[in-house]
Amino acid sequence: MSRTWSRPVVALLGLSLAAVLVVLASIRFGAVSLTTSEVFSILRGGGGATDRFIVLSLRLPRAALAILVGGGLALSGAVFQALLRNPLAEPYILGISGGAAFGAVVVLATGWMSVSSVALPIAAIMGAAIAILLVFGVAFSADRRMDVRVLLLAGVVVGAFFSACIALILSLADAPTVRSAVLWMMGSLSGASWRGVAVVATYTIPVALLLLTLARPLNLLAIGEETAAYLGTDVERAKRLAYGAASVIAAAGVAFAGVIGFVGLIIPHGIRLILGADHRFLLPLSFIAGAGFLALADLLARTVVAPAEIPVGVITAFVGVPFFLLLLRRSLGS
Amino acid sequence: MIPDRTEEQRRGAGEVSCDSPQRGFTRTSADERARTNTRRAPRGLFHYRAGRRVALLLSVLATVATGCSERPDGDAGNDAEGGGDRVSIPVRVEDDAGRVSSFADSPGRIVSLVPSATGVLLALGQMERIVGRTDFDRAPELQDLPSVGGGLNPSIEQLVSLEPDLVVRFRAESDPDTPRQLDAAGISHVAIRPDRIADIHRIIGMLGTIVGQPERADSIRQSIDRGLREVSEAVAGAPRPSVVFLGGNPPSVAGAGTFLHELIGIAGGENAFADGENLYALVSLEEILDRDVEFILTTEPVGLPEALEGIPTARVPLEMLNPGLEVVESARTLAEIFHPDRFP
Amino acid sequence: MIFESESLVVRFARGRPPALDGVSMRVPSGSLYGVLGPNGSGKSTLMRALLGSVEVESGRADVDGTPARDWNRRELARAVGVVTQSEGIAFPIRVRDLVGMGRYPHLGAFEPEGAEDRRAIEAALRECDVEMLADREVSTLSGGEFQRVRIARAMAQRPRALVLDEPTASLDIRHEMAILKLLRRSADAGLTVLLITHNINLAARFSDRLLLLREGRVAAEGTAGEVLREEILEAVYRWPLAVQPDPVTGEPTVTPLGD
Repeated sequence: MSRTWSRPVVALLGLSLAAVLVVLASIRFGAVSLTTSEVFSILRGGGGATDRFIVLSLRLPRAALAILVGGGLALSGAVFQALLRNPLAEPYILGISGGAAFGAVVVLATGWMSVSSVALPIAAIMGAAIAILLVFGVAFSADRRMDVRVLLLAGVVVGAFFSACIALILSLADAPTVRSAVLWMMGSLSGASWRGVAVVATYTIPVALLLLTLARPLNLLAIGEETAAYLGTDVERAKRLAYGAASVIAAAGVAFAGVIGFVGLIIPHGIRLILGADHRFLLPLSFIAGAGFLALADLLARTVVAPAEIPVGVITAFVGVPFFLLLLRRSLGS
Repeated sequence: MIPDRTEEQRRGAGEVSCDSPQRGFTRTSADERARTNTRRAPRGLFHYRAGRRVALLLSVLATVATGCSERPDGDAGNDAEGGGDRVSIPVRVEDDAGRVSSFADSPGRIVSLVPSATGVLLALGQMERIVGRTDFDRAPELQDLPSVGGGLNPSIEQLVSLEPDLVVRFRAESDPDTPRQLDAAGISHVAIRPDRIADIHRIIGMLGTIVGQPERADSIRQSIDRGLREVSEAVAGAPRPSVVFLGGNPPSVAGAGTFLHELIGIAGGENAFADGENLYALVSLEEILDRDVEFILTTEPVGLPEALEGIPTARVPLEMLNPGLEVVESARTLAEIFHPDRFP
Repeated sequence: MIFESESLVVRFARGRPPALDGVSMRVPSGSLYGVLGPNGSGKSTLMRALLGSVEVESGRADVDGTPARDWNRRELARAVGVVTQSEGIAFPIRVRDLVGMGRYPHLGAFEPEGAEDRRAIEAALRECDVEMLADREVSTLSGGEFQRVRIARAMAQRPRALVLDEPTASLDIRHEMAILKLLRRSADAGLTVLLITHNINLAARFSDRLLLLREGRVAAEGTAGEVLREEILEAVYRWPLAVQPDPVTGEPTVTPLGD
């Protein structure tokens, strides 16, 4: 028993420490160089107005958003993989990114953006909600049960439909709109604000806690629905909760940070390769690792070619893919 | 709406408008920079007749100076009389996003995120006030300034750290973050959207008002008008060839809403797709062939579809798609392509 | 635990013939009950009906006198261990963790395994002869090993009843016999065992009673001697066969004949 507990606990502590260090680094470093002591004095309430703004209103909310979105994406990806019993599943597989991007592009192309600064996130969340309900409606209509194979198919098809809608709008839009839409779809945390952080946190934190209570049902779903039912799980309830909760987290993230790939795919797999597929460890560790990973990716995105920024989704792929391949090779070797 | 100006600015303006035109350019470092800028900034933008380009720009500058000297500072407006300190009247401008900003003092530190607006500021002799640039600004005198990255997605952190009093930004409905974050940082910003020639006029006027150089802005505007008029007079009466602008891949054509459409008209051409509703639209090759196009303009460095071979094709720089101070030069370039006989 | 059905009708789709058509049977507490029948005769459907996972059109399917559909799933899972026909594992998992899932019905959402749980898991691993596999990845097991691990998971539930759908289908003689002896021992110790199988001879040898299904109806029910009769089996399986006492065990033994 001590064997099954100690490794995850060590990993939990190690990953948490790493995530904290990354977050500290992302407050410390940026396009503008500030010394560590300057940053600390700002955090204690000192410093000049401009430097205070940079640290407290730009870097801190950005780090907070990275934590919530990165953690949420990894958690959501882990849940979708178990729910769909498909290791290739990621948070966006069921059309959420398509729906959210559609909502965002409509706002970008119509200029409703200028109505309010929250117009885009609201539209993205609404688009994601439409996609979620559409997919759920299709997968659920057959004999009042949710068939995950139908869910997967419906999700992919709904996503493709929204992609076509986006392509149609963008083919008629002007160049700046196209550029903004493409940048948005590549994902960025540069729009981080405390208000956005508060909204994402409101969705992500309670729902993430709810998902943690689904750890054992998810373990069972991963070995098959029938067996899960015979081991005491209310399978339909667990599936609906898992789908709904993981979707909400993914939608909240995508609304405020755009479509950030690879986090939801690579992080849960990495944790699984190191620690196994027990969702009691996989879920919280995915959240922590995803949070640290996205904070690190964003730190690189805004410092590597500073003052210009690279889309964070590019960094998550550049950093994540080689690391993941290495891990995969190592796990095959042992 | 005529702004009062600080002593320093008034002096700067006075030097241009009141000193003798021959010496005006060499008197102050600001003017020195402005002249260097206008001479060098567009290097590489146009590969047509570079010598003529420089001559043209110099003539624009000369017109600025002449215009000013013809209308001394004193006649320019209601701030004419008296030489002492005046009560500050706040400058109010409405930007291209419909936002009204007022400036109690003319902003001393400016960052322009739009290269064409940066060019206007330099032409207005405001190098001293510019404290940052984007990665897309080519003017050599700007290169020593810190960059804030791209103009559409600048590093807000870097931008804020420059502590500008004013940020000139591109009006993009799609980028709500830059204005929101500037508001949060308490930094004034004006949005501009140079789509058409009329927009250039308005932007020059607005920036001139903000920096307290309305006369100089007027002069620039007049010289642009004059330059464009000269181009259209030069091609007047000539048969107007049917022209299509093809850009991108797959190629899209420029419709009636584009700056290029205006330029083609001024340069004595007829936009074959003047009926296009969208700014740029994808059309079939059949449609292009069907319209008996006589000239193809393109920004593409590589070959056009085979079906279009045989139609005279001119490559124009990408920058010609975005209006700025070079509008006269762009119009003249096109006119020379369409009507080489009118430009011996 | 007692499984009981009366005039049970289960239909999967309107307009199609019922999967079960008036099945009445009773598995007494502490007995090993064998369910036989050709493919598609309704064996697995009967099992699902008795476990409350399919809807009953008419009749009853009760567990301990309560309709199976009305049981709380967790309580049923604490009482009944089920080994389904097959199961596809989506992610790598170690044998010990898979067997440990048998304890889930007994644990709260965040409750870690206690000493009692560990004892149940170790005992189940031992009983099913898979102790030496405990640290292996399930994906590296042979078909027979995997089957024993799944039975071990059901045993780890410490259930009062076991329901198994062709559990020995892929096992070699040694492991098949070991499992059947384990089931027999369990029944003797008071567990109710419901065993679906195609192996008529071994079912007859180990079961207390047998049920023979044909196209959703009961073709025969009773002791091995009552059910294993040539005329009944030939009609059900539509194949000529002979039933003779086994020379070694003396039990009735079925031998399929040539054509």
